[in-house]
Amino acid sequence: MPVDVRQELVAANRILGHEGILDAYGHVSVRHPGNPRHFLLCRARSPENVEPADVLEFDAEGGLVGDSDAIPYIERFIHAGVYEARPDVTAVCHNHAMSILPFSISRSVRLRATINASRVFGDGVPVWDIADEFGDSTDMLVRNMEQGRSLARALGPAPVGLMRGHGSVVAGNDLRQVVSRCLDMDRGARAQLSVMTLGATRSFTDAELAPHADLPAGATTDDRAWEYLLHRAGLGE
Amino acid sequence: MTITGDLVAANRILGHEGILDAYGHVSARSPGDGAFLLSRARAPELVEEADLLEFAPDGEPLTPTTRPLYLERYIHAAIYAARPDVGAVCHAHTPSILPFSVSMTPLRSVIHSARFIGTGAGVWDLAREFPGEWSPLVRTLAYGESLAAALGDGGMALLRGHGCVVVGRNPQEVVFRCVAMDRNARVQEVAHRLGEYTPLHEGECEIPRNPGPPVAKDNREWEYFLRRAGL
Repeated sequence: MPVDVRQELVAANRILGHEGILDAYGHVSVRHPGNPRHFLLCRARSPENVEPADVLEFDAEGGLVGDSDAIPYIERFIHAGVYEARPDVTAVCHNHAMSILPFSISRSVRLRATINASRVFGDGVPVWDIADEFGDSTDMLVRNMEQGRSLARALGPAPVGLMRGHGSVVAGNDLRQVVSRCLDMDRGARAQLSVMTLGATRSFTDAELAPHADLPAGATTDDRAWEYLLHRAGLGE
Repeated sequence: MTITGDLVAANRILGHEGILDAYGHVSARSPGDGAFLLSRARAPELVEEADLLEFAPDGEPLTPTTRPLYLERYIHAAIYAARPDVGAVCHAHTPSILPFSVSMTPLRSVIHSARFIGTGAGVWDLAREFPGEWSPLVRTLAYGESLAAALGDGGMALLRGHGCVVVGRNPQEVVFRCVAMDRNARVQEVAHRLGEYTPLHEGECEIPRNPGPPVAKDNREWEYFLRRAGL
């Protein structure tokens, strides 16, 4: 595999760890550049500590490819399920960011677009409850393809989905977009909580939440963010 | 690593992660002649191996010492006596759980990493257990035994207006549980402010008593917390 993808994956791990989106747990993956049915994900190690040698390859069913005695993340089926259902997705992060967890259990309030950063939430992000299909006595981990597929169905075409009492899954076109989306998700969730304590709000209109047609193609801010985040994580030039 | 090394690390990690501050303490069951190992009275983040002392089942030091001791060491003594499955104990005043120690809203598992809390953490109230007495501290073995009874088979208990005790099979498990407890309390408090919320179902919570050696698994959390604490 190309070294740069492996290094970009390690950088994404370290950035998300450094920024507090991932802590001891959670993980981020990328589609295999040479085999889009496969994906790259690290061995079970805290994201902030991963190194290039920790990167493993998995097949479409979440099976470890090649000869390795490394321990994989139990929940690699989250990634396998999303890649299978979403040809448009090239990178996936599963996290337990503190800011979104209350929204994952709330029956009163949905995580929704509040500020520009969280426009991708639209009028509410989907919430997957493992108990709906797999009963109320699981350990809540996504342990097999069936559960990964169920989660992917709940996510649908959305960029962000919540998992009840557990965390979120964030999908994107590439690693840089997923990293930016994770940070936007965190900012959006925190802003929404603050907004709620302030009283009446100036909410986005449906027209404002519609996909932007006015931005020129390639006008992405993700590369600027990437340079900044690399620098903050001690990985800059 | 040795049990003393793990216990020093647990002290420093829990201090670094803000579970413990100037106060609070964490102990481990002793592999030696005494009942348990606990530091002399010192802030956990500063504890070194030379600070560890061996205590007898009654909570007194095995070897007489002139060093100041934690007044609440009886919490540990009583729990080790009552719970053969417990290998480590933490007493903390973590800010996130304190409101739940006073509120009638029970602290309960709302995130999967804190499955050990269960459907409602018990609250031990010294004033109710010992009518006519009042003490801000668990400074006798009788108080400790009463608290241990309230803990029962559970993984944690709250002390009204005071803090909590968290138990586990070893210092690592106690560290992971304390961190998960803190996150759970913060999530639950916010969700409560938002309105109705779905906690973990009973079947999603861990069976409270879980004896035997820790389940074999990757050790990524311990590596993570050691590094963060500069160890």
